[in-house]
Amino acid sequence: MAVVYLEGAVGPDRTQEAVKVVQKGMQFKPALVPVQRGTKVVFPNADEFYHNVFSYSRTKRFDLGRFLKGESPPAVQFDQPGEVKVYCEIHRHMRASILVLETPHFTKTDAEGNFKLPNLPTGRYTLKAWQDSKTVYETTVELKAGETVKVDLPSS
Amino acid sequence: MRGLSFKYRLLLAMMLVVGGVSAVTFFITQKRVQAAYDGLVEQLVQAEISYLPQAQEARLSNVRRQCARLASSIRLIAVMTEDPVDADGLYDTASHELRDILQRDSDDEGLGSAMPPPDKENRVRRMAEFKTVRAGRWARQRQVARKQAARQSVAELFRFIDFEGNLLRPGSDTIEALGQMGIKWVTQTDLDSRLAAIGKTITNLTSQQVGYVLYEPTGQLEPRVLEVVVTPIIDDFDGSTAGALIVGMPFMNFSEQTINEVGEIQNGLWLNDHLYSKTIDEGVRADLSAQLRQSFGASTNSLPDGDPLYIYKEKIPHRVFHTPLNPESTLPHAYKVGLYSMEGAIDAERELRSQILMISALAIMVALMISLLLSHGLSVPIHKLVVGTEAIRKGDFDVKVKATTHDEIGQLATSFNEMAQDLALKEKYHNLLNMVTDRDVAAELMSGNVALGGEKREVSVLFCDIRGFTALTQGMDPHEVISMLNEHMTALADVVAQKRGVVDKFVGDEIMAVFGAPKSYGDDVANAVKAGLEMISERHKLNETSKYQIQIGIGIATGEAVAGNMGSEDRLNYTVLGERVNLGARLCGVAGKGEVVIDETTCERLGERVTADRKDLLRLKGFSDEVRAFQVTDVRF
Repeated sequence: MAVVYLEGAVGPDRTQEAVKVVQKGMQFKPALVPVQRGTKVVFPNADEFYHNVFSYSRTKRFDLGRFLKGESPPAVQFDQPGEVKVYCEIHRHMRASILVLETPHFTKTDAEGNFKLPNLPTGRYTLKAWQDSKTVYETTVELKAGETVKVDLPSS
Repeated sequence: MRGLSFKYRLLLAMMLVVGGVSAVTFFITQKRVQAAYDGLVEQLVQAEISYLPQAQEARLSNVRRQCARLASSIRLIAVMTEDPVDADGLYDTASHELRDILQRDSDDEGLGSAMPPPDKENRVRRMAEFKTVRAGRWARQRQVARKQAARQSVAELFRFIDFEGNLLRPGSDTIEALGQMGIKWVTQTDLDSRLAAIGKTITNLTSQQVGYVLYEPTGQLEPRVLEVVVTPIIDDFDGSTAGALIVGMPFMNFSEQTINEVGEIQNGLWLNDHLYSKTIDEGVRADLSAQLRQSFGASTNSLPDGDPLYIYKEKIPHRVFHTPLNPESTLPHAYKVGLYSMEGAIDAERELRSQILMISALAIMVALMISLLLSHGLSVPIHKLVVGTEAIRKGDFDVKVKATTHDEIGQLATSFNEMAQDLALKEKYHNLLNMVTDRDVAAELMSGNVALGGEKREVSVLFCDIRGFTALTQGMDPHEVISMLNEHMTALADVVAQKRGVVDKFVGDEIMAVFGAPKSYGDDVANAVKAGLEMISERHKLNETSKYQIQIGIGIATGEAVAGNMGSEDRLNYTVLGERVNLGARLCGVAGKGEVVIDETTCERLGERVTADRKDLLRLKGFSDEVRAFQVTDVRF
């Protein structure tokens, strides 16, 4: 699974989307979330026990403290681009990554890695597929009006 | 050895025995003492060795726990997995987490000396101390040390290493902040490079390790040794190493408060192929380093084995022992090197030696005196016995050796005395016998040829008596008679003896002599006649000088007679019997004053040699026929 985005492409504002990273079954769901810079994300606890969500990432450092289901910790606004690694202090193996992007043209692939990015602006851009901080595939795309470009990443 | 007197042999033997026993005692005791000291040193060494891990545990357990806790903390992992790592935040957070071990307690005044330093001049005390060091005392001391060590574990240094092994450095603001917390940030090139070297091994680290790092702080003469705990920070999400935490504690090696000072063990640290010590002298250090380098071989991680190492300091041997401080660590090993002075052992040995020497010298003297006494006790009575035997040899049988003891010597003296008495008695008997009978007869009797019965022998019998004896001695005092007779008999008997005759008996004034019995001397007949003639002339001579004037007559007869001991078994008389004997007596009766009358047989035997006048035929009592006799005037040989 990866996040695919068109780097540098301008588009409609997506910052008002309601993004949730739920703690359920001692896991973050979803574990990988792309958001546009400025988006607020909430981290509701759907488990019957405490979770403590925090991050030390330079992109966004936050610590929500311990909270139970029903308690609503404040939403976190991500106003810097970059990767935010999210941890739960109590459950070591709970990990999530929030990829904060400038561009609104992003999507997540499905389990097989298929994706679709609609309504892209024309021009030449770099298409990136972000799997983790160490695994980023990219390719350059030429977008013309009305065309649909098929891209496979990594390309050959 | 044969030539030496008994005294000296005894002396020598005693001294050899005493000397031998002393030597053996000395060697045995020396070996035992040495073994005992060696054993004690071993004990000390083993105690040290076993103590070290415990001490380390005491020192480091808190630190290790805290580090492990921190390293496993998800927050730390979260920080460490960022790229780049936020060093400031990292150190800031970590310093709070490790507060316990990073900050000195305000009430901790540092460690004072647990034990008073030894008085280097007081040998006796040292030896006493050496002897009294025992496990129980050590255990108590260890307890004390452990408590102190626990208080002591304040980290002097803490660093983080990233997943590539690079040191993470905080900014100056953070360093200041740390300083305000009481954590001093040490920046030093050699230290950093040493830590970086550890960092290079980070990929091999899977568990917490203990290591030792040495650096030389600027402005200080002494290098500092840090005991470091390296804790890998592993993200258990995927098992990857996110980095490591290094916490360094001052390793109080140079003034370590243990039992060392009491036991005279000087310490050093062997690290990076070099020996560091405060208590071991410079001069010794170089030598020791060389030896250690040799025994450790190329790699300091190889455990050396072999015989105990000794090194000399001011000519006193010191036992060297070394033990690794972090034997199980994957980091380079550091060794604790100790010197144990064998001076106590040597002193004890010396004392023992001199004691034994003194005692054995004393023993030898005592042995000398005893043996002198003993030999004296022997040689004096032996000497007396020797003198006694000498006297006996010279014929003095009246000698007596005093028996002073009841032992064998006394018994010998007693037997000797008895022997002397018996000899004296025998001599008396012998003399008496000789006096009573003829010497030859006495000899025969002594030689044991004493038997009843006799033999037929050809003998010449001589009778000599005094003419007119009765008339002569009438009115004489009996003592005078005896005196006269004795004088007479002595002179004449002497002649008989000279002429190889045997005086058979004295009968009143008559002398009876036998020639040819008990043994023949060859010319017995001639002897007899010569004797007769000489008796006459002897008497003449005696008449001139003597008070008494005596005239004698002699009769000699030759022929077969029975000779032997006659009498009872207890009392014998050697004599001759037979017709010729009677004839001799009769012829004596008819001899005139100064005449020697011989029978026909005698004359015939002598032949030409005798000059004799024929006398008239005699009619003698007991003889049926008439008897031819001759008067002798001369005989020639």
